[in-house]
This record gives sequence, C-alpha cells and structure tokens, in this order.
Amino acid sequence: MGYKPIESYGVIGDLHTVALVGIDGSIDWCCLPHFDSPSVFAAILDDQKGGSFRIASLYEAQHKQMYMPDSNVLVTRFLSDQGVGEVVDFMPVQGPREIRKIHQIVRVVRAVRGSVRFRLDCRPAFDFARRPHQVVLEGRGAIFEAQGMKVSLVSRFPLGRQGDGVAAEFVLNPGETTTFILRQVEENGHDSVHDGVLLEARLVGTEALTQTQAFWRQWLRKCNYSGRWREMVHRSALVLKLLTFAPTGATVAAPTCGLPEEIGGVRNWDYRYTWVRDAAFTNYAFLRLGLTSEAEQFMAWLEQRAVEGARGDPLQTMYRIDGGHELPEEVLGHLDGYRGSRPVRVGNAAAEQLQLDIYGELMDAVYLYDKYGTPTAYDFWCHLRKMLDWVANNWERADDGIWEVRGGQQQFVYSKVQCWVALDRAIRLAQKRSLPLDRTRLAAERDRIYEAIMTRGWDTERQTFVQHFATDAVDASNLIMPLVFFLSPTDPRMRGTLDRIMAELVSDSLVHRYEIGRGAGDGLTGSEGTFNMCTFWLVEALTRAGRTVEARFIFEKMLTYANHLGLYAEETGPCGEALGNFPQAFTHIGLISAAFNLDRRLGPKALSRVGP
Amino acid sequence: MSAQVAYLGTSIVGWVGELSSSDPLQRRLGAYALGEIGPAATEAVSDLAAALQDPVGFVRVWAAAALARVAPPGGESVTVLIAELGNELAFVRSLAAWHLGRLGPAFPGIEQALLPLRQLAGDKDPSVRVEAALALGMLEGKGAPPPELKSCALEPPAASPRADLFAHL
Repeated sequence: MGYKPIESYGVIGDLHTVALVGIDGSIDWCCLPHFDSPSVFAAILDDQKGGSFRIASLYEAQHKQMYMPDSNVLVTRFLSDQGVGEVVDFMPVQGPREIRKIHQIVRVVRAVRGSVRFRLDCRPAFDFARRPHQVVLEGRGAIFEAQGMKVSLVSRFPLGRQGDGVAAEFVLNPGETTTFILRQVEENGHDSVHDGVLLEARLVGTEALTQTQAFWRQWLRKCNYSGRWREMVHRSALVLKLLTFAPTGATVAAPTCGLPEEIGGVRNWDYRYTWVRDAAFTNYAFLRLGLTSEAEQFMAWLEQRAVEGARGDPLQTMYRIDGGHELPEEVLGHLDGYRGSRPVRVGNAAAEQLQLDIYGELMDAVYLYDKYGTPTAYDFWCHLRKMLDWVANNWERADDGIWEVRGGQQQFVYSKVQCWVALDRAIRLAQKRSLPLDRTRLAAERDRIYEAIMTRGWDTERQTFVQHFATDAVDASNLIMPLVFFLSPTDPRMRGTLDRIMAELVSDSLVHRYEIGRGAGDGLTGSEGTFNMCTFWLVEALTRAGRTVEARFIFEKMLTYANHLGLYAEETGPCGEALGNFPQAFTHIGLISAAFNLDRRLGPKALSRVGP
Repeated sequence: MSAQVAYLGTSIVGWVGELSSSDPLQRRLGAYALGEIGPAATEAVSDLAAALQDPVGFVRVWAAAALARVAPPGGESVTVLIAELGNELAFVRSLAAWHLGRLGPAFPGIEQALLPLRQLAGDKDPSVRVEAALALGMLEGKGAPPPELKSCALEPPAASPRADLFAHL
C-alpha cells in the first residue's frame, strides 16, 4: 500500500475521536471510541498491518479534497475522463443526552459525472494490530468482532470477505449515491450491544450529513473573528474544536501518535493526551475568537487539576482526556512505524517530568477567562493560592522544560518566565477582584524570578536570552517573552534576542525550536524539522516589536506550508513536508494568535476601490 | 468500462459455485459478483436465471439485477423485480425498487415498472416509499440533488417535500 505524505490527510471527528482520511480516500487512522483508545485503523504506523478503510474510484484519477464550507465535513474527489466520483466523509456529533454513545464514520459515495466504478476495502486491525478479530458477514454489511470490541460496516452492496477484512466493487450511475457507515457502539454497562444496533441501516446517510453540517456551521457562527486570513483562522478554530473531548472539554495536543519529527527518526511521541500547556493556550485561542463556552468547559477541567495541584504535589504535565493520571509509555515493537520511523510509542513518559512552565500557562488561562469569561470563584481561588504557594517555593528547581528534553533537567529560562507569569497573573487577579492573597510574598518571589532571568538567563556577550542558565545556546521559546508581557517587545534585550534567534534558528522564515547538539541535549539521536508554533511566535514577536512588514511576510509564507485543507502538523521539514503528529493544536493556536495580533496591528483593511 | 473475468480475485466459475451455497448471503454475493463481472460472465446466465427461482426473496432480487447486467436484452429481470415489489418483506420490496431505478430509463421493458412503483407511494413502510420515489426519479430522468448541496440549504430539511427521500441510505 505504501505511506502517503503526512500532509495528504484531512481529518473528521465527532468530539470524542477523529479519523484521518487520505486524499486517496483511505482512512488510515482512527481510534475508537475515544482519542486515546487503541486504534482500529493505523495504516499510518504500519501500512501492512495497521488497518485501513479505503473507498476510491477504480479509474486512474486525479485526487482532490475540500471541506464543505464552514464545517468538518470532508469531500474527497476522484476526477478522470471516464467519470468523476466523490466520497463525503463525516462523523455525526451526538448530543450530550444520548444514552447510547455511538461513534460513526459515514461515507457518502456519489457519481458526479458519468458512471463511476468504486472499490471499497475495509480491514480493521484492533488495538494497534495486536488483537485478532472475526469477520461476520450479515445481510446489511459486516461485523468485525475482537475481544472486548465490535465494529460494524453497514453497506447496501454485498461485501465479500478478503482475509481479515471485507471488500466490494460497485458502480454508481450518474447522480447516484450510496452510503457506508462504520459504527461502534459504546457498552454502557447496562445492556450489551446487539448486532441489530450495529447494523441498523435507517440512519440516515444524508440526514446525518445535514445535521452534521448544521452542527459545525452553527458552532462556527459563534466565532467573532473578522480580520484578515479569516478562512485560515476559521479552519484552525474548527481543528481545535475537533481536538476537544466533549465530555470533559479537554483538548488533545494532536489526535495521532508515532508520526515522526524526522523520517526514519526516533522522535515519535503519543500526543493523544491533554497537556496543561497546550490546553491553556487552546483556551486562550478560543477566548480570542469569542468561543467562550469552550473556554468555560475547559476551565472546569482545569479547576479539577488545580484542586489536585493544591494537594502539594506538582501538577502533571499532561493528563488523559478524562482527567486520568496514568499514561505509561509503551513501545509497539511489532509496528513498522511511519516510513520506518521507530519506535512507535503509546502513552507518554513525559507525563512524569517536572515542567514548571505549566503553572504560568494555567494561571494565564485563569486570568484571561476571568477577564473575558466569568469572574474567578472563591473556592477555585483557594485552590489556586495553594498551587501558587508551591510555585513560590519551587521555581528555583531545575526542570525538564517546555520541549520535554530527556537529557537531564536544567534551569530553563522559559520555565522561569512562566513561573513569573504564574505569580504575576495571580497578583493582578487578586488586585482586580480584591481577592485575598499574600501579595507581599508572591510579589517578592515574582521579582526574584525576574532578576534571575535578567542576570543568569542573559548572555551579555551575545546579547541574547539563552535556553538555560548554563549555556549560551538560544531557544525559540524565549520569543514568548513579549507575548506574556514579561518585557517590552522593543526592549533592547528582546530586540537582541529576536535578532539572535533569526540568525541562528530561522531557516527560510521557518523556526527551529533549538539547535540540536547545543544547549540542553534532548537525549536522542537524529534531527527534526522546524517547529511551526515557534514560527508563529516569531511572527507575533516581530508584530509586537513593530516590524510588521517582516511579520506579515513570514506569516503569509507560513500559510503556504499548510496542506491543501489548511491543516498543519507539529513541524515542517526542509522540503516543506509536514512532520510530527497531525493535525497539531499548538500550531493552529499559534496561527490564530499571530493572525489576531498581526491583523490588529496592520489596522483596518483598505476598502476596495470601485471603478477605474 | 472494461470487462473483467473475475471479481475480488475469484473467477466466474467460483462465483457460479456460490449460487448453490446453503447460505443465502453467499448466494446473494455470488449473484452480485457475477453482475459486477457483467457481459463477460455469459457462461453464468443459466445459473443466474435459475437463481431467479431461489427460495429467498433478496437472492432473487440480486440475481435479477445481476442478470440485467450479464444479459441485458432479456426482460426477465424486470419481470422478477416488479414481482418482488409485492414481496411480504419490506426490505425486499425496497431492494427491488432500488434495483429497478438503477436499471435506468433506457433498459428494455422498464416502462412496465413505472405504475407498480407509483403504487408503492402508499406502502406502509417508509423505506419502501422512499426507494420507490427515488427509483421513479431515476427512471423519469429527474435524478437526485447532491446531498451535501441539499444540506447547505438554509431551509430545514423538513420544509422540502422531497426531504424524506433522503432519510435513508
């Protein structure tokens, strides 16, 4: 089968999980029932064993993809002289009151011009291809049954068994439509799932399509962004919403695991969890766009973490989407890995790292939600105060840093900056809401952090902030400083840092997060691409420094690295290829924030001239 | 469309063998596969014709649809499909209606299906009514609007008199 480029995928989802749909019509990634469940389709991690669900025209055809306007309904098109066919893919979004949780991938297939011959191949491989399954053919389709899990495929056309999957070829006449539904029903603990439910055919191809489109359109209508690059901002917002787990409001960093930061390399991580950092930034992006209900739900999730943080232990860097704490890392040695990129890991050992920056990101999210959403409740504030005490007592510790390096703890400047943010936002919030706080103590610690950064995190000779206190290497994470109002964007120290980062970490406008081999070692071999979030941070830092011409050029150049649907992975390779998990929330958050601030700085758009 | 002599890697002989399986789903698959092979499966015509007498209604329907593709000039397929419009099982009636629509307005003898399909407008089962209406749309040349365009419409689906036509696969 072979591997497709990472950027050749679109994504659909139902706010519990997603599926990646290749431009060739193949679903090569889907975990059911939730983002962090074991996979059912994982051909992106092993094109032979991983499992996939492909529907494609059998004609030699050009492939194209688009989203239906303002939605996460994906259209994959097959264009040839013999005929034009389409597959419309989506996952219906259930309301919260539905008793039976059903997850469905609906694939509406249509011949648009001429008669089109299609082929369907559905070969699930449960639990990352570790759990064998039986195939049972039924009148309405097929059931794939593995231990502890059943998935059905509803089909009007008879399916033939092909190994441990099913296949069918079929011809659609011009204008004719047929629908296939891949369905999984969650056991609710009270009654078992009958095959009749799995194979119920009267859903709905098109009614579900109508409802799903309406859901996304109505959701996006709440977005109040009207500036430049609106379509890209809207697509980013739709991606962030897709990565949100509806029952808790938590967002995953990305819905995939094991997609490499270097082809053939070892930096292959599982991102299907909620990082406090990423989720706090997501919250910021939602608030920026006026999407306050998402922020409200996330704050409830965050409050639970703050309650845990108030018990005296440091927060975990990441959690399961249901708030669970256990993310044991495991290597899936039986999988080939994307284009041989091994090992494939599930779980994430970085959960146990000490990353001090998350307190700053969390407190900034609280501060912004208080400002743009709802005033902070007293009980929540009490929990936060305990957590802040911990920060005041522990900010001098070495940690593993934002990049989760596995080469040993350091005194990372970014972590210190975010500890400063944590205390600073607490003081501001207490002042604004007249909330009780030991202001004197926290202000003193805040100022000590500031001085520590300015003395130990500053390289006078190179005129730049450095990655950590014991190196002269630079780090793109320091671009955050003016964004969090740590110092003025035009402060000579910030200007020097900006120039140094542009000289040492920027390649054709794209930003490496650090220079591998300098500064804190990440404990791994090989290299990686440029880090998309950092490129957007560079845009923001330049914008705030008044260098809007450069900022706009870099931003618009960066837009060209999105895939054909406006989606980004975590990183961009030297030839513009997407690298790392996909699509990645961090990148889309960066895009939204950079677009918002750059647009505001550029001022109102000039009116179009009418006439000659 | 180029003729093929196998379907999903199995030859005509193999699929003809499935027509005598004890499992009606396998007989259905055999008939469907031969239909997909199309005119190249002429050697299967007599077996498909025999399958029109299958004791199971849905197998008869799929055999009739296959025969229409393997030996199109014959009117027997239309006759069988029309007869199955009166099957006691609703899903067989709707299946027969769907297949009649798929034969298209140019298929010999298809005009005989128009009246029985119109009569299904009063069928007690909604899926039968929908399939009959869709089939009539195909045979009368109206076709169906693209579903996603329909879903873009500002009016809610129920406001359209044809909305219920799209409530099924």
